[in-house]
Amino acid sequence: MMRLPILSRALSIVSAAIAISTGIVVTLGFFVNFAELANLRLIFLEWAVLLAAIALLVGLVNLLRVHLNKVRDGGATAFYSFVLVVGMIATFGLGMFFGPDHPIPLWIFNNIQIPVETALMAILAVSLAYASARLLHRRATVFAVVFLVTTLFVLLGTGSYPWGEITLLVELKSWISRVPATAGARGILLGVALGTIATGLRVLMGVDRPYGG
Amino acid sequence: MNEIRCPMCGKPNPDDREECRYCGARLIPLVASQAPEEAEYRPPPVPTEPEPPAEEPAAPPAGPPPPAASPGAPAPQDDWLSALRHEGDEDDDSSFGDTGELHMDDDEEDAESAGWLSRIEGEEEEAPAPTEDYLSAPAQPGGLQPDPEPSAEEGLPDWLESGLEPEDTAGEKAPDRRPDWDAEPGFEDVPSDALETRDIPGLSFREEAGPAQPPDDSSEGDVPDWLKQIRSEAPSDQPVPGEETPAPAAAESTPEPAPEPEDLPEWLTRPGGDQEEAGIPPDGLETRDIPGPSFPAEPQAADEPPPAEPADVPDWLQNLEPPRPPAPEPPVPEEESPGGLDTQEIPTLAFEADQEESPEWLKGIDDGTGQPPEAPEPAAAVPPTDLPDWMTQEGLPAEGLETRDIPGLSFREEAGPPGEEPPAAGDVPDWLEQPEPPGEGEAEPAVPPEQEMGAELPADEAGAAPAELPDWLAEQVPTDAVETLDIPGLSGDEEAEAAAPDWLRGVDTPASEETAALEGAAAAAGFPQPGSFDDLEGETPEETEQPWSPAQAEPEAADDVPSEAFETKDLSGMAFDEEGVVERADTPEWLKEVKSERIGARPEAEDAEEPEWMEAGETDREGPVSMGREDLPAWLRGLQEVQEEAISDVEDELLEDIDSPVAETPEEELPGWLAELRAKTGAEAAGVEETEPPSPAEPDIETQPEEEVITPGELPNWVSQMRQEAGKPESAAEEPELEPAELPGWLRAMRPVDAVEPAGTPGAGAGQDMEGVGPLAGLSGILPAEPEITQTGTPATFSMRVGVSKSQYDHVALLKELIKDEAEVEPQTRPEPIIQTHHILRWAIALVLILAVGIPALAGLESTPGPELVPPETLAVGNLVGSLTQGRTVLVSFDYQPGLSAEMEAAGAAMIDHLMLLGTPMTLVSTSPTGPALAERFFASAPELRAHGYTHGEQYVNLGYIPGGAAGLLNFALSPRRIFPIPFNLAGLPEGSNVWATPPLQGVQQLSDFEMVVVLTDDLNSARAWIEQVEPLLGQTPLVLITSAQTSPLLMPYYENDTPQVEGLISGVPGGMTYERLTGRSGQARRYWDAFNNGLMLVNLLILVGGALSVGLFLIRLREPVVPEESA
Repeated sequence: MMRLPILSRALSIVSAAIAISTGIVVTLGFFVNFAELANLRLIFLEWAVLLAAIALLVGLVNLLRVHLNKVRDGGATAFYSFVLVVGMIATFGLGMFFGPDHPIPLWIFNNIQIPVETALMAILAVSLAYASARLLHRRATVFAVVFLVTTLFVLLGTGSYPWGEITLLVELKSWISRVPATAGARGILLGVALGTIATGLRVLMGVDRPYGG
Repeated sequence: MNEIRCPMCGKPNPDDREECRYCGARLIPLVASQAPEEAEYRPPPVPTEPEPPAEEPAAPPAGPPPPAASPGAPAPQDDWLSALRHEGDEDDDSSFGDTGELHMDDDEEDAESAGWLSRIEGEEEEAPAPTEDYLSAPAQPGGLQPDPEPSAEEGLPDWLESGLEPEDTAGEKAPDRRPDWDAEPGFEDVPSDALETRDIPGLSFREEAGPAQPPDDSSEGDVPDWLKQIRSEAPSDQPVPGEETPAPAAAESTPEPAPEPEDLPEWLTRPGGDQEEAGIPPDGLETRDIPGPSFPAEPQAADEPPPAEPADVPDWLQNLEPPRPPAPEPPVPEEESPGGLDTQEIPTLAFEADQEESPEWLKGIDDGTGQPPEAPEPAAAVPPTDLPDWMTQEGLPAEGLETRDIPGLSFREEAGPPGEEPPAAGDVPDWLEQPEPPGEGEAEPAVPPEQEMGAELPADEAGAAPAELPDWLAEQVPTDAVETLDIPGLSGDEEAEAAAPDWLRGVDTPASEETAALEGAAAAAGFPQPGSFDDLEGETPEETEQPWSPAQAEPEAADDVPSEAFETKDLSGMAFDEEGVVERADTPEWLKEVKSERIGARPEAEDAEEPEWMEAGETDREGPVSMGREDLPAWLRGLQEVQEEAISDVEDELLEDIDSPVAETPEEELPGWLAELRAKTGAEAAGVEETEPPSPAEPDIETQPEEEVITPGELPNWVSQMRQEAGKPESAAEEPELEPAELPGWLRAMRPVDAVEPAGTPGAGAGQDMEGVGPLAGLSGILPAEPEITQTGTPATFSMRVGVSKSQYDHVALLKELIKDEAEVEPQTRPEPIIQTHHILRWAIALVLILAVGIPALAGLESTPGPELVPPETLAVGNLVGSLTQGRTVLVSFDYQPGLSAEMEAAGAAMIDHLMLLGTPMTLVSTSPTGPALAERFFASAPELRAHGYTHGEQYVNLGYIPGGAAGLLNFALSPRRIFPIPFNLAGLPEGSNVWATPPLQGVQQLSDFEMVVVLTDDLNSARAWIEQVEPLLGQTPLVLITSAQTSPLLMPYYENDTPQVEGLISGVPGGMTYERLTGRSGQARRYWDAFNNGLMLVNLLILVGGALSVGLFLIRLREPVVPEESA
């Protein structure tokens, strides 16, 4: 029984060592113009792409298991899970069997997946429109008003009307897109960049071990 | 060379010595000086015996003695006396208080005692003492002064005048009669008697008596002949009884120098010897039985010629015969002789009172010789013929005389009320008029304190009544008055307390050893001592239950009891006992009458307590008492009556309170004559006391059995009876003698404890907070020794139930019901509608949107013009596409989701269309799994693209999906060939063909080899990955992003940089529409543009309407009154 903790600890250490070493090598590959180091970095990247693909498959398997459990457990959502499982298996099967560029998988993709997702986006549009209409009714706050006014001006400035564009609205929409939206976006991007760097450093330092251990 | 007898051991010492060479006791007393302002309180100076012509200046022939306080009065006394006085002054000056009053300190007492002792010595040296003082001298040194010549105030003899002279006159004469040491102002106050007198309210009485009894020289003629004879003879022959001090040895050698029978009257010579031998001062009883008032009867008798009496009764005594008893009683038989009677009637208390009350002449009579037994010479010097028979009896102790010196009672009685006619000089018997000349060289008894006190009467008081009283009386005035009047004062009256004699006030103050020594010495010398009556305490009437006996008398017990108590008690008892005693068989009839009268006035209770012998004696006293009363002057009678009343009251109380007088009376506070008697008795019994000075704390007299002192055969019957009776209660009295509850009432009254915390109060309860063990046993109010913490116990249990009434229960039930109703949830009465408002609105909005978007899309309406303004990023994309090198492959990445494919296709179709127009080969990649399919769909779906006829492997190559996210994209950027070895559309390519060998990928080794990289993405992360991972490796290859409308704002920063990472951007349908406007082609965007615009308009409308409604409703809510929820 004592071997399991030791083995787990050893695996954790090995995992951390691999992650740290890989990260250091890849990072050094960005800053050091060394051929072997670049090749080593590429190898690691290829392993990463393969692992990512395998991880996608693993994800597919995990998704299939969850929904199979739901189908097995029954309930209100079991049917939806069953459809998902069937669609996933069929698509995967057809894709494996016919290949991804086979018209059958493409038909399934073009006629089922894209309309479904597009329909979802359409529902999103309706939901956003409805939410905008009831925003002041539900939360009559200053931020709600600002949000609605901004949305209104952007939408009015984005489109064109039968009588043409309202230049003021277009300019206003352009100003909003370029200044406030860009400022906010840059802040988000800077934050994301800083977070990415911190996460990378944590992984390199072994403090954050998303791989477990 | 003169000798001084040691007051302690009684051995003679040279007069120049201050301390006894045997015992080391102080021979010369320490006397205290008196402040000048106290002169008025001082008793007149002691009318001493005639000064020896060689040593002292001649005293004035007549006139009152100078007041004791007369400052600067010349001291006619001997040098040694002067020296003593000086010493006394030096020593005791500080003993006077600021008020001029003498403090009854121990030293003072010593000085006083020593004073009169020394005076006695001086008198002893001055051999020629007045003969007539032989009676009074022992008891009252100043009472009977030798005055061979009639005083200047012809009514009184010198010895009488000396005590009652006014201050001014006394001041002149006193020095002549007093020794130097006594004449000085300081010393005058020293004697204990003087101290006592000064504090005694009796002084006021003297004042009263003074003016009422002015000196009357004419009274000289009233003195009986026999008394005159005595007076005339006494100075030369009669030694002063008190002057036996210098010859203690002589006193020892001649223990009972009884006067010759032929020199004494028969009545005086009869039974005195027994008493003297018994050590019991018979005079005490006599004196006691002879109340003061009885003596002042002389003035009254002065008016009448003294009746012819038998030869043994002096004339003056016959004049005092009570008129009431018609016939004088026959002489008392031998066994009931005066001495015997005296002895019998010597209850201690009464005896002391006798000393204080009895006049000097009576004291002398009691003594039989007028001198203490220790001084045989004076007794011998007394002309026997001048003395009554009963006085000439042998065996009368000198103490008897001294006993009568006890001040107070007798004097009070004698003083009489003011206004009384003073006794004429002629009323005084001759023998009384005779001076008391202590024979020179004779053992002259020490001057008792009373004598000194009498001599130190205040000048004013003395002068007030100088003539009415004889010297012995005048000298006793202060003492007697003091002690007598103190009795009521002891009950708490401050005035009386202040006037109380020092010895009485010093009840709680133990006498010093010196004082005790002096007193003991005086007692040994046979002089009356304040505490010497202890010896007789057991014989007091009230102590018939506990008669005193030497065996019973415990020394320590005697010390514990203040002598004052007994003195006071004696005073009270003395007033009655004196009468009885005097009227004993030996006493003259007039004395008997006085006694009988006194008996009649005594309360029954007192009679019941008296022993039989006293009762028998009292029966004998009736005649003389009555006679005496009648013969008394009015002022004296009145005084006597007053005194008797007061004394009778106090006497009863004292008799009841005193349990063990002997044990309670310290020896040092006893009268000198009693102390002497005690010491003497002890010396005779033990035979050891001669070598050892008697300790005041251990009076020998008490330790010695009475049988050794008094020969049983000599004891009269009444004494034997008394002893028998005394043996019973004594044993019982020993046990409770220390009990506080048995203290006399007058003593309790004096106790400050009682005043503060009277008995019976809760705090003073016997059992309350009283310590039971340890040294503090018996004391109350002390802190407990045991802490309370040790007294532990279980805490009391208390009920936790709360008493609730019925009404309270009802209220609780009502409250519970109310809460229960509130807690219950009311079921919804109206079911929720299936189709709700928001559902309708949602569907309505969806329907409107579908219609607005669907109708233009389905209808192909292109009514809405496109945007006229071209964004710069869109324009930049157009410019880039326009600037592409012909034939160079453009890498197009399809990284968007199928859901946004419509927007992305509309946005990117114009630009792709533009590329296809340009015939640019394209390599399609995707970082999304659906990307390759979407790319195929993109090329296949758009009609304008399909119109270009791009085929796979020819004009474009769909490399497929780049897995690995950013890493995969980086890897693709680094080595595109290694990532995509096999293209996506395998079916379109020939088998075994190399994708990288296809026209779109030819010459492409890396990404920078692509002419332009176009990324169609709706995801920021995907765009960032391209920008962050690929863009650095693109080199000069521009990166253009075709994004959805929602993502473009986030990617705008990459475009708007100074060195833009993204060189162009097409955002959404509007970007695609704009780009189409640039290319002038109508594409996918245009088809969606109307729908898009309708959708935007509708959404805008919904937002406006929805906002307007919300605001309207909000305003309506504001206008509506607020309704409480409770009412709702």
